[in-house]
Amino acid sequence: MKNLYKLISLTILIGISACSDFIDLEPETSLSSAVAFDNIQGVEAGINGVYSTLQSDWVERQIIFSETLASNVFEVNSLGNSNYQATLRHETWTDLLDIGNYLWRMCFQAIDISNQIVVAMPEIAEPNQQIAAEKSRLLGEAYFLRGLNYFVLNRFYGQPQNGLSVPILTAPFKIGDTPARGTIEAVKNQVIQDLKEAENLMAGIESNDGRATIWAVKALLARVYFEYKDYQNAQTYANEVITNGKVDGQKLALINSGDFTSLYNSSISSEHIFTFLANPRDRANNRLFEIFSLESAAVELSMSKPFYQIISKDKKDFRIEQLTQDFRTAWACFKYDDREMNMPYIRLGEMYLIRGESKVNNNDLEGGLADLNNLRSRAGLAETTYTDKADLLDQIYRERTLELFMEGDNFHNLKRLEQPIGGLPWAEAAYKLVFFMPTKEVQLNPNLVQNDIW
Amino acid sequence: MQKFLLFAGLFSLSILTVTAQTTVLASLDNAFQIAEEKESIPLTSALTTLSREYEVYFSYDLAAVKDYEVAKHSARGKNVEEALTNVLVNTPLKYKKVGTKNYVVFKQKKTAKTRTKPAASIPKTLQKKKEKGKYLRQTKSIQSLSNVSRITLETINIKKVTVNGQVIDETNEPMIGVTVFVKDQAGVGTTTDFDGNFSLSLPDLNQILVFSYVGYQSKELALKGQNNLNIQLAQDLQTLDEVVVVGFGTQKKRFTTGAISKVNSEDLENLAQTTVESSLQGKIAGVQVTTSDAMAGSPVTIRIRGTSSIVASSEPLYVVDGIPVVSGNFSHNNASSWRLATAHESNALSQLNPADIESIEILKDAAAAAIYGSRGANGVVLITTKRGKEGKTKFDVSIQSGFSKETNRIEMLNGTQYIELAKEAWANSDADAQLDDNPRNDNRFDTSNDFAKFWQALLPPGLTREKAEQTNTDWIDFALQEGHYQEASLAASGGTAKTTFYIGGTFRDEQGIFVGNNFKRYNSRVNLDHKATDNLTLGVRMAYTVTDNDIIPISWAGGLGTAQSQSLPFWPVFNDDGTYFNAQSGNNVAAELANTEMNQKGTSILGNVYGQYNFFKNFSFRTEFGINNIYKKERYYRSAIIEPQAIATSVLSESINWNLNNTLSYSNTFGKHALDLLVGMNATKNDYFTNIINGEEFPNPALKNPENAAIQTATIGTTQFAFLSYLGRINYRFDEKYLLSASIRRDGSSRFGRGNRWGVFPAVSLGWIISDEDFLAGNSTLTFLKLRASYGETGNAEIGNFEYFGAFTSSNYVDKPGIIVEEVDNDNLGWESNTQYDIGLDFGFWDGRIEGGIDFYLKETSNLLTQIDVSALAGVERVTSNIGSLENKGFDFSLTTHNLTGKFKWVTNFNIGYNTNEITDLGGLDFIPGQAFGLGAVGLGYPVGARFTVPFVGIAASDFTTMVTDPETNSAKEILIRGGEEIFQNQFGEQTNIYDPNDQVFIGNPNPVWSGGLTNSFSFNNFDISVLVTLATGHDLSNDEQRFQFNGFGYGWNMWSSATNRWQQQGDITDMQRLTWAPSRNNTSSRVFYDASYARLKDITIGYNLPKRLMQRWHLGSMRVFAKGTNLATFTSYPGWDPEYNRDGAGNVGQGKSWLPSPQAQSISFGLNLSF
Repeated sequence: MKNLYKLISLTILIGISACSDFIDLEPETSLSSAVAFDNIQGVEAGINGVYSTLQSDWVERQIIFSETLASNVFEVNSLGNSNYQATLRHETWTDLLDIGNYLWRMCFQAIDISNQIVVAMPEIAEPNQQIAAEKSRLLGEAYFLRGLNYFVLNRFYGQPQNGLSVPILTAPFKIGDTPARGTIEAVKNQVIQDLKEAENLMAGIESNDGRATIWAVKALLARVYFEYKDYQNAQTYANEVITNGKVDGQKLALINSGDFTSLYNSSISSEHIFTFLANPRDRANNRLFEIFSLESAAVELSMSKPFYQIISKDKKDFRIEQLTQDFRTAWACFKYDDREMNMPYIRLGEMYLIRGESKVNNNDLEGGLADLNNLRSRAGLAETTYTDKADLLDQIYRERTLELFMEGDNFHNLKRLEQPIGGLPWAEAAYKLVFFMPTKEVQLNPNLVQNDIW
Repeated sequence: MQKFLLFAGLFSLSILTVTAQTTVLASLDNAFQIAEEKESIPLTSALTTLSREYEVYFSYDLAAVKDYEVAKHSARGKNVEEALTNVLVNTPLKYKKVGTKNYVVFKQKKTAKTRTKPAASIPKTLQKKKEKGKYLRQTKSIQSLSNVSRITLETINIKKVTVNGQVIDETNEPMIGVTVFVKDQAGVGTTTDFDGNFSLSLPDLNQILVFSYVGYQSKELALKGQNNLNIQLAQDLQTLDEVVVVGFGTQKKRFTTGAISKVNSEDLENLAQTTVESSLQGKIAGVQVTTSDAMAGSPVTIRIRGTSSIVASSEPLYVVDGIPVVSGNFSHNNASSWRLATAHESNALSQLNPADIESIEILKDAAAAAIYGSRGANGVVLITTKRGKEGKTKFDVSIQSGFSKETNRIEMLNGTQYIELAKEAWANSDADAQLDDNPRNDNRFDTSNDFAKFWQALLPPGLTREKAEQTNTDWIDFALQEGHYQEASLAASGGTAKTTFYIGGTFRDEQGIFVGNNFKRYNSRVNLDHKATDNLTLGVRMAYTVTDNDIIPISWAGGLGTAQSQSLPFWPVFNDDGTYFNAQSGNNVAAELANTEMNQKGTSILGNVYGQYNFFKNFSFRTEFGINNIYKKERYYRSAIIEPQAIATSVLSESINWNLNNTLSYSNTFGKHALDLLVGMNATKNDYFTNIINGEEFPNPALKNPENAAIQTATIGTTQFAFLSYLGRINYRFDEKYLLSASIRRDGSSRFGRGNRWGVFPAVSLGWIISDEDFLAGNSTLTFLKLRASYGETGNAEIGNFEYFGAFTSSNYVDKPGIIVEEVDNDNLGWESNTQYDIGLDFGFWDGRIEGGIDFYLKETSNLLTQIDVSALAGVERVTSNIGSLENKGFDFSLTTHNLTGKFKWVTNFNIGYNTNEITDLGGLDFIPGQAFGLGAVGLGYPVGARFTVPFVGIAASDFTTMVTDPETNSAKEILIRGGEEIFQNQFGEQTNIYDPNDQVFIGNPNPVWSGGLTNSFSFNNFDISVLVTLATGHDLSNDEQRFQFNGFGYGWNMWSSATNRWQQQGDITDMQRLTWAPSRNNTSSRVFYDASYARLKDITIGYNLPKRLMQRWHLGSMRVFAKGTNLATFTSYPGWDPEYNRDGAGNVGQGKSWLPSPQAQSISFGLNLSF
């Protein structure tokens, strides 16, 4: 009988003690959204998380998409992603239709965290000046990252024909919300507004640890104004960066012509304004290495012959000499040959191009020529002259193509300049070479008007 | 030998015997009824009651027992021994168990030294307590066997005639212990001796004798003057008295009301396969078993009555000795490199040793499974391991060995063919480029200069045209090999009245048919049961298993998958300098297999301890604590020969699972009412921990562990889940004919949202044994008929552990902690519930000569755990949610017929299941697009796993024009379809050569509509043969890889050799399109669908039992030698590797979608079973 009572009391004991909280488990290695951003460390982690999201595929997709849309590359060895180009250019239907989804999702992931941080920030206590400064920087970065991502989305999804771009969200998204698309103009204004906020909040932030500095903000503003053809502001910001910009406490400066590869490896040069730092422990695979490098097991993309012919006219150009090779059936680009390279997102060369072209557009032709020659001479080329404004602009366009080849710039530049793109006249390219609203998003959100690409 | 002496001693005595055969006792019923009124009843009546209740047989000397009376209610106890002790407690009588179901009741012979009173002075009065003590002491004095043999008769009837005879079985072997008695005079009888002989003294030769033996049909024989008889008894074929294991208890098959099927240990012996689940294939109606491939220890998919979920698992719950175990994928492969990460999955249940298993019961309907409420939605597989039986220690030794090869081999293009076809494709593309004004094509397909550009494109670096033209490499030869295996097992079992044991050990060493696949398993098991006191039983079931498994990727990343895709036949294996050719491409199969190491070492502990306490006669309390811990050490390595840098991964993981069951049961009968009650609770918790280290770049090829790598990254993961449940069940039986069972279970799971963790799962079932009604009683044709009906609800929680939790997970940036959104909160995430209706009929004809059952069921799953897409604006792609419902309906039919009995036996087992599956609700949507892995959409009104794709019509034989409707404008336009092009059907039903995703429809069904098996077993003398044919029909496989294989050149893929039938000129009627180089058609259409119906000669076993006489001479119990063939023949129209296929990790939606599949193994094995 004693045994009996023992056993029964054991059951009851277990029954009671186990009752309610036994199954109330929470993961040990994940953080609940309720507590994620209620302290400064959490916010910093959120910002780091956004950088880590952008670090890998986000940059790489932009580059691959842009170059592919511009027909500057072709596939040499398709591993399942074949017909990439035809798909992206909407020349054929395939199951890769929603290829742009990736970019959409990553951009909005970044925007959502930025929004959560912007909303949570006022609740965080400011016990001292140091934390107040830290808060200011983090909030600035949140605005910077939001503006940056809207800028990218506007580039790829904005449909000039109907003037529509992506939905503009400035507060955390709730499942079930069905925001309508904003206009390209509205998105542009949001981008500028966010970056201006960032500019204010991040004054004096110059330490380059892979995160945005005040110079990154200003350089991005230069790029944004430039792309939206506000050459006054573009010139102002580019000039400010070139004149006062710093990286790691050193003044920004163009690198020597002898070593272009140092722009594309695991070091930080004096030319890097905003760079995603590589770190093997982050496990951000360098897809660009896999796609472009001959050292990769399966090279996928080669520059196209017409594009190579454009950039290789002058064989003495160090950039071409050091960073390309002609295999006659394929044309390799060596910009992504270091598996552990730091990924430059904005560098000083672009600022000279922006300032130069802006100056010319603002009728400072000599100033523009100086910037052009600055870049030419460090590429080992003779200084040039011009016949008229149009000629000078043409030379700067060409310089831009050379300086930034395979860095995802050419496509957007052609769009800005209303030039034919990859064989398509601009008018056609402008409305055809944009991404669909992801099919899934359209299905879930009746307010999301599809881009009418056909 | 001692046992034989005992028999001899016992049966040489001429004991008059009674049996308690129901028929005979009918006449005693009146007397029995009257006796119940009295306070005490005759001992013989009490024995009769016991006999009926426990289905045992008593032999006794009538004269010695007839005068005793016992208390009316003394015949109680939790088992027969206890009840018998209670009955005999106040008499000088003792009992002895003989065999499994016979008891001899006897009085110890008085000796001069005995100080007790003569037995004769005791009768007819109830004994006083102090006297009881004396007789108990006496009990102890007759424990030695020699005492038993000294029992003698006290009274002897006056004999007039002696009848002699021998009883034999169908195989003419003498039968020992057969009860022989005179009809209607139950008191007059005897049992047969060791040689089957009996001798009986009768008043005359006009009597009718009855011969009975457990497991055999009773036989009546009118003497008609004969006094020398030869009687042959036939086996009783009915299985109704078999005991089946149900959740938290056992039940007699006759009285079950749920749909439960049983597989006995004989069917599990000597498996050629590694895993125990494979043995269920074709054996049970409504249970479809698919082995994913021939890899040793690979997963087996079981679907009980169809796929009942979309995202949650549809695999049944496995319960081993009462403990739910961890099943499913046993491997983790969280390596950073995809080539390591795509290693093959392995199966947690492959740790179980089939030789240790006593029986497997499958609970198919909700009524049976509801007692496992939360986790029973997909059915429950109850596995019971062997336990020892009281008696001399029995040893079982089994040795087997076998060889295996692939069931089928696909011919790929050889080097010469490939080059020829590739050239043709190039030329065709060139011709197209001339027609086409697409600027992309410019001069790519220039054929000038003797195809110089073609060769440039075709040849990888290091290969010359001349060498390529001379090379014919069949890469499949490097991926497949002849497999072989050996297995040896030894088990010992036995015990005393208090303690029984079973210990077993097995070693299996298998080399699979895939190069590099080796599997070793070491099993050990101890099962102990001990009766601590009369009321308390304690026991342990404990298995310790070690597995050592060299796995290899087979569907891609270097194995057979690569051999049939990206390894091209004109490549040599080696360069001229002896190094591997194109080693770093990942496509040199020989290099890949030789330089990749993937090993999993696992140890597992699976066991439980229990205590059971019986009290107040009818109550029993049982507590079970079980553990199932799996520790695993995985090591992956790829050398610098095949990678730019050597990479290695090491994974340590442990899964600690504990389980506690406490149940209280009550069992009683009141007249015609029999009642069983059960209440209990169950708690389960699982903690999982994993530690993964990836390493890259090694200082020396001899160092292969991540510890030595220059770059190391570590991941540590931890997760857990818990279930808490309360359960109750009532089983009620009236008049042995009307059956009712009801159960309820309340379950909580940590996997669901904070507000929705608890679910309640009720079930009720009814049964009616119609054959026991008056209008059928005594019907000699229809001897058993039972109608069953059930309704029940069960749940499914088999999703990831924290899917309700809106979580951020860490994602660091430059070594600084970062977090990213992983999931969004869903506090309402709750149980997927499954409602099942079942109506069944069990029948038996001619005393079990034909036995079978049919069940019709409807299974509705609602609140489906589905991953629904959410707007990516939330930062995530999809959330797990409860949306929609689906249903499975169908029937199971099983039939066993004893076609021939006697010397030549022939038994046929046939079973078939019919099931249809349909999604009936998707939360208002018509379809949900591709789920995890992009393996397919689900559509309203279609089965789970139906493919959403464009219908394929055929290959155009010649150019023709046709009208198609432009979906935008709805206007018709004319298009030209060229000869050799693929023709699709568009949404308007028109033929077109344009692949438009808007034309996608749901096509196909990966779930077999019919599945079943047919076993024919024959035996003659000592030979036996059993042949199992399994079948599955009504489903198809989609060969997804063929979208590349159909036009492989642009992708650098090899193709099936049937590609030589390509379209070449106008008028060619073929199923292979005109070849081109441009990889433009990578779209899956219904072109890759094939009917995967098959029938398969799954198993043939031929056995020979060595003669008993020989065994006796060798002092052995029995010896059997056998030969066995598995998967010897397959009848199918499926053109791929093997119609039996399951894609690793593809979930429910991905079933039937193959990706570079592999064949099954065909094996022949030989073995020997010995027991003594």
